[in-house]
Amino acid sequence: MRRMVAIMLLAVFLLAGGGAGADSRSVEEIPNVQRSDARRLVSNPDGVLSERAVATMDSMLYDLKQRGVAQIAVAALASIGDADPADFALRLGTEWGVGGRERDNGMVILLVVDQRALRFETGYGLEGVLPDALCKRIQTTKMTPLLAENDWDGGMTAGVRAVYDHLNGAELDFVPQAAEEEIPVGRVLLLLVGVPLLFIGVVALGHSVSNRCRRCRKYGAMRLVSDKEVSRNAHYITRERTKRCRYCGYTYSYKVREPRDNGLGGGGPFPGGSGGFGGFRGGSFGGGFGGSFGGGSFGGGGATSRF
Amino acid sequence: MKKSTIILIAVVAVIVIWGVSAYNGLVAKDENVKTAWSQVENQYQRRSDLIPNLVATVKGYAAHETSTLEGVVEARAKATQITVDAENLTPERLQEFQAAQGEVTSAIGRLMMITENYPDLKANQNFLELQAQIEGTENRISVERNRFNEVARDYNTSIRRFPTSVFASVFGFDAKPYFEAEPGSRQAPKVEF
Repeated sequence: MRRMVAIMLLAVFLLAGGGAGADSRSVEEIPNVQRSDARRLVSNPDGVLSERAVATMDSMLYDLKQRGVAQIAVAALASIGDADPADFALRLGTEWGVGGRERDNGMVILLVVDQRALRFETGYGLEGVLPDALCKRIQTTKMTPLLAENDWDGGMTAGVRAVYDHLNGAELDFVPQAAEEEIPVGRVLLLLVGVPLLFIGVVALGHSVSNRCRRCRKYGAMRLVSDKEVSRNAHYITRERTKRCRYCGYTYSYKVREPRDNGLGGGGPFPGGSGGFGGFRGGSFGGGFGGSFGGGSFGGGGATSRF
Repeated sequence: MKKSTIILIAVVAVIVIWGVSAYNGLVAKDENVKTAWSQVENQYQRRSDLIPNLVATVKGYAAHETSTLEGVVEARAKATQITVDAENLTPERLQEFQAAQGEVTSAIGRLMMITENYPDLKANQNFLELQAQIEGTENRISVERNRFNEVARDYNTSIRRFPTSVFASVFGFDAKPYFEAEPGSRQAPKVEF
């Protein structure tokens, strides 16, 4: 008997829950696809988008995440009930923690079909590169014309591509900009000439001090006469360099240790590091493994469009 | 030393330690409220900074809508005079602040309404960007207001919980006011097919 009552109570709860779900959908119900597979960033629980479109977007977004540029999650939903899309996107981004904790470089792109609404929610760290006005422009020029014709695949893919290209530094072929702001020529010139000059000066000074002869005390006197490899292991190459003073002929040798395979980009002190952003997290092992977002936060930046 | 003295000293020590940690906890929460408040002010300031540009742009196309344009400028001027120091965040001050900022919100709303009648203005790139920025700022304002309410609620709850409440009243930790929801500000417009 007691069991019967329990089952009935449970059924009532479930029914009540189902009833509530029909007119409002909670953020927790949206599957976070990133968790099961690090290479997926497009959540498409209602089958709004085609598999192909999802794959196209996933590959672009995974690339951005992998390189540490930005963590962008897309959600295409049939309905969120009466919820406000901006608020929903914010809560989704916060719940999933889209974006790095330090850099807050997360973004949520939300499509709500029944409200015919589109929302970009940018994390604090992306507000600079993707200001509200630009988000709005991407939406109205690339996305809403297609979304208005119920072309969800086309609209969403075009929008993600526009964001991708923008974050990669590509110019967007938008409607020509209104008159450019005046650029202070003098200041730019000063920067263009002054900064390199200063840089050269500092390097030269450093060079002359570090190449001071220890015997005759003349600055910049030491010249490299030989540079040969003495040993190498898996991580480092050890070289011996000999320098001679061009005034008094004093010579001395010293050893340096250099990281191997440092030919690519930037030359950080880490073997194999290609410099730039340090965003490798869960997804760096290739396929199959679950990933995670970094716990970024949002402040309500972005833009909303209706179509 | 008598046994009772030792016990007395121990009890006093425990109370002092508890008091210090409770005090520090309250200070930390109070700081959170202040930070949240400054975020709220930042976002209102951001909107305020956009207004001159917006008014100038609209004026270029709709110069004769003087009353609406002046309405925005006046509301902004009034609102900038009311600043609330995070140190004395009283319900009255907050209400005054919210009322003044609410005037700005509705003045901007009226301005946006009349722009519907000017197709040239609606096509102006500069105007579209300003509009997007204003919308974004309104959204940020509501996010920061919600966050402020959350941390204020957290703070208020802890100064009202029993043992800490005695302490809070002794050291003058006052309750923080909340932002009231503005009528219809965060409701998604109904879309009918």
